[in-house]
Parts: sequence; C-alpha cells; structure tokens
Amino acid sequence: MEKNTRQRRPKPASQPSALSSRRIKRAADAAALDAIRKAAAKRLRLPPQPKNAVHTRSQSNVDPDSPQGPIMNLPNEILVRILKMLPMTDQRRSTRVCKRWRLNLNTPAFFQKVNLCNAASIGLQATAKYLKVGVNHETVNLTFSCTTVSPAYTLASVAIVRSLANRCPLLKRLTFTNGRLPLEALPAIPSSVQTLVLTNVTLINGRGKIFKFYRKETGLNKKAMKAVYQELHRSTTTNK
Amino acid sequence: MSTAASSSTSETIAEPGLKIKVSTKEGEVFELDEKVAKMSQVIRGILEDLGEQNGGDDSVLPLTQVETRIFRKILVWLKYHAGHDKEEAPKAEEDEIIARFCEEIPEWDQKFLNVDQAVILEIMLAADYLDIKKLRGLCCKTVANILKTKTVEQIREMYGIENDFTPEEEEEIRKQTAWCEDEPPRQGSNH
Repeated sequence: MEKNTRQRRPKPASQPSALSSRRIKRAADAAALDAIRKAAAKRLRLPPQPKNAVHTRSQSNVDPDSPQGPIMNLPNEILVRILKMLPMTDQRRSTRVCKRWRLNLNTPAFFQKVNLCNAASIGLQATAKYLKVGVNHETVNLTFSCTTVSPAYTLASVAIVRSLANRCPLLKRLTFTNGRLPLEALPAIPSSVQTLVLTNVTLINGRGKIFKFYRKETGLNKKAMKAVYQELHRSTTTNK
Repeated sequence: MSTAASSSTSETIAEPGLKIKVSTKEGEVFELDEKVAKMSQVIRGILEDLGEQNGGDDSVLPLTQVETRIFRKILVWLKYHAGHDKEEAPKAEEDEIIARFCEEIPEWDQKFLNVDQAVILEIMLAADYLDIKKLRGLCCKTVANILKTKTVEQIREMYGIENDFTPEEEEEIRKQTAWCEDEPPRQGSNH
C-alpha cells in the first residue's frame, strides 16, 4: 500500500490541479493546523535525551565549551551507527576509549550484522578474530554485508562461512546482502541453518561466472539451498 | 553497476507550484518544493497522512528540533540531491544505495561536510530527526573516517572523553585488542 503512493509520479500537465485541490482545499483553519501539529509531534518524536547512566557520567566530565563535546551527547543509537562504519579492527580498538563506547561495541546486536568490506584489507586472520569476539554459540541470526565487490571478499566469504559451523551451533538464519557468494560457500553453510537469505547477492559458479543474481530478498530453505547448489555445480562442469 | 538500470526511467520534474512550509526551532519559516521536502521521510509521512484531510496552503510544519543555521545547511544538501539524484530507489535497495554512497563519498558531499565536526554531528542529529537516511549515513561515515585515523588517546582528547577504566581494566582490554592495535597488514591479498 505504501508502494502506491511512492510510485505516483508527477505528471506536470494533468496532475497539479487534482493534487493541489486535494491538499490545498481551503482549510487552513485551526483544526487543520492542529491535525498537522499532532501528526508532526507523533512523527517528529523527540530525539532521545542524553539521560542514561553511562551517558551523563561522561558528559559531566566534558568541557561544555569544547567544540567536540557533542559526540558524547549523541544517543547510543547514533553512536553505534558511527562506530559500525569503522573498519573491523578500528571497532575493536575503539573499545578502549571509554566504558560507554565499550558497552555499545560489545552488544550481541552490534555483531548481528557484519560488514565484510574490510575483510580483504585487514586479512582473513583478523577477520576471524573479529568474528570470534561477538559471533558465538549464542548467535542465531547473522547477516554479512559487503558493498565493494572484490575477489578477496569472495574468497574470504568461503572461509568465513566454513568457520561458522563450529562457532555458532545455534545459527538458524544466515543472511548475505550485497556482494558475491561463490559456489563453494553453499555446502559450507552450517547444517543448523534453516534459512539462507540473499539480498542483492550474485552467486558465482566454480568458473567465476555469474550464475544467478538475487536482487530482491530471497529466503532459501535447506531444500532450495541444495537445489541451487546442484544447479550451480552443474553449470560449472557442463557447457564449456 | 547493474542497479542503475532500475532508476533511469523518469526525468526529475518538480511539481510546479506545490510548496511545503516548515518552521525551524527558532520559528523561521522556509518554503520548500514538494520534492525537496519529501526527501525527509518524516515530512513525507506527515504529508501523506494529511493527504485526505489536507493541511491547507497556510499550514506550517513545525520542525522544533532543528535550528535555523543547521536547517539552512540541510536545505543546501537536499536541494543539490533533489536535482542530482536519480529517481528515488525502491525501498528494498535503499540500504544498499546508501551503503555504496557512504563507501565512496562523492566529491560534492565531501566538500559539503568539510566543516567543523560539531556541525557534522548537529547535521547528523537533524537528519536523524527528519529521517533523511542518506544524509545521516553520510555524516556517520564522515565522522567514522575521522576516527579511523586517530589513536585511542587522540579520540579521547578530541572529544574530551574521560578514560573511565581502571588501569587494570584498560590493560586487560589492551591485551584483548592487541591484534588490532598495529597497522593492519595492507597488502592486497593473503592467499
């Protein structure tokens, strides 16, 4: 339903009158304004005030005139957004900054989505160490994403997927978004995984050729995973 | 790469004449083109909610959390992107587009955020409040890029963050993170 409104495309010739009459009907009265304010208040929910314990503590030690002070006033949610954008090694390094940062960097939620963009530059070993910190026997849901397409990532992903079997016995749902997933990764997926979710992922076969592109979020159950693998495998070995 | 195909279907024609009025924290009123205003998902949502009852042309959306000086900056960004971005992406691809955009920040956006870090943080908060994900992501990534180049000590100093660990705790964490303290191996591949 939301889709419909989105797709409405401005048609300068015919639409404006309909549109404006709909919205700019003479009703700029108090009631309409009130409705706007109410809707606005609901939508424009107040940003979380810096009130939680960890927060105020450090805040009290910040020079209020310091131009950089505001970073400690950020709600945790935003702080996490920033820290998430750091390369994996820098994320771990940043746990030393202060307790609040450490807390936020060590939550299970923080590790639910791992961006593997830097896997190639920090190396497989470091990536494994990073995963060891927060991807563990409690992990049920895990998402890997990668925005840059690099052969190193493609290789890394196989090794990483392999390492999950021992590390996450409870893993039920494994998601890959953006990037390439090689044929070899599929049989390496731990047997505990019930659903493999691919969004904007390209599967490549054993000859490095693009086999299938999943643009939309696609969930594969075990049976489907197996079928895709067999199909992939076949495409690698036949029709040279 | 292949995603470009999906978005090139229509030119960017602003609806002529349709203006949205918003007011800042200080009460200053700005008049925005509908297209620009709707880049804020919050404003878009309000306008859609009000679609039926309609607001009337004199109504003003009160953006009580955004200061005028920050709003002016945001407006510059919105206007630029309203004119330069392709037709907005379907929701499913939004995250990916933002991620890619942040991975390689375009030159114009780099210049746009070449301001004091405190201002970046304020823009970031306002973008969060207005739900302009791309701008919020851009700010986050820009700050992350600054953090990346600093040592832990420099980060504390830069933000006036007190080291609230005991020496023992810090030593322990230092041990845990020893593997990422050194310059990471930057060689292209390791296989």
